[in-house]
Amino acid sequence: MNSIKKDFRGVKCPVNFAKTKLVLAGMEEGEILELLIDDGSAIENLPGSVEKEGHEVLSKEPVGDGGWCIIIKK
Amino acid sequence: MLKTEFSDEEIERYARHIILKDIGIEGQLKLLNSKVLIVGAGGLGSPAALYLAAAGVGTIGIADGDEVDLSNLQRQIIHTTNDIGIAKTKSAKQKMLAINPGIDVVTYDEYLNASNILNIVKEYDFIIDGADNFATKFLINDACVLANKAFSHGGILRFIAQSMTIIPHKSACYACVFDSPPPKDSVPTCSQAGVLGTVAGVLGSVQATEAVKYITGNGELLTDKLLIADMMSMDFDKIKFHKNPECRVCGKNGIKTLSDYEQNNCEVKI
Repeated sequence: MNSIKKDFRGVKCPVNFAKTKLVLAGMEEGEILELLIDDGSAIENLPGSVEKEGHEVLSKEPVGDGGWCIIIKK
Repeated sequence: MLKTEFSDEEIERYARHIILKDIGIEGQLKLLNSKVLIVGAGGLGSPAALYLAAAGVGTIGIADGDEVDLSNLQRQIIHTTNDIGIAKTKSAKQKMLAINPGIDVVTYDEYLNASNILNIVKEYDFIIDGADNFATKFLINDACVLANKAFSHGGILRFIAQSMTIIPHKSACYACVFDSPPPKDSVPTCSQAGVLGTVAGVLGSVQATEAVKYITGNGELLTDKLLIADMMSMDFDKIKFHKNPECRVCGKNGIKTLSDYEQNNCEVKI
């Protein structure tokens, strides 16, 4: 299955989570979202918030050009 | 036109609603597509109008026939010293659009009466009673019962505030609880009727919250309950009521048409 890719680096909390919620709302159950987010409060807060909404965070990896890539399964 | 998606500006503006589980994407879209009428741009109408504009209620009607007066400014926080002498509806609209240019504000620069209220009320999903006199409060109740529109009643005096939410034909109406306006001599005279500004702020915010809950279908409304808040003791109590099957307004032999109530000369100006 193709994954959806979004780069929300540079988008402040909690707007990054609001945008993530909107992307997830438009996805099918089981689809994968590859999300780039900032270091700091984004990586500290966003994965937990996504899980509280009932989605699965499959992985969190730092990326070379800054920030984190998180893989979310709806 | 019904809104089904957000612009980037709206995602940022409403982010803190969108991330709330009980509001979320769906709730914010409901707010953007909703219409709320605020009767009175005074002590209660001011915070209600500001918060509902900020919340993105798509269309807000505001009705008031009065002009801004210096003595209003102690509690009517939507108006400023520069607005003295201009119509309250115009002054309110300016502030609401300054907060949120994405909404529509419809002004009714007139006092509501039995001949104009129904046509206005029927355009809206929810009505906020921020009127400053019993005649208008009972008229709003009657019009909302006839038009089958949910509304929030609010009243304040000195340090005390009260509110209840009415869903006509489902919950107790204002007349189920109070029947009719109090006799003239029981209403405080002007010299007795002070009100703390913040009391208006708290209650107008309660009324705006009820509007948001009704529109988004969340929580427990103040239906069949009268909230009485004493800001001196900070006691917030809820008194339970039931719909009166014999109510002269919403009962089985209830009203079929509107008529004006007699207005007392000197009532509490909120």
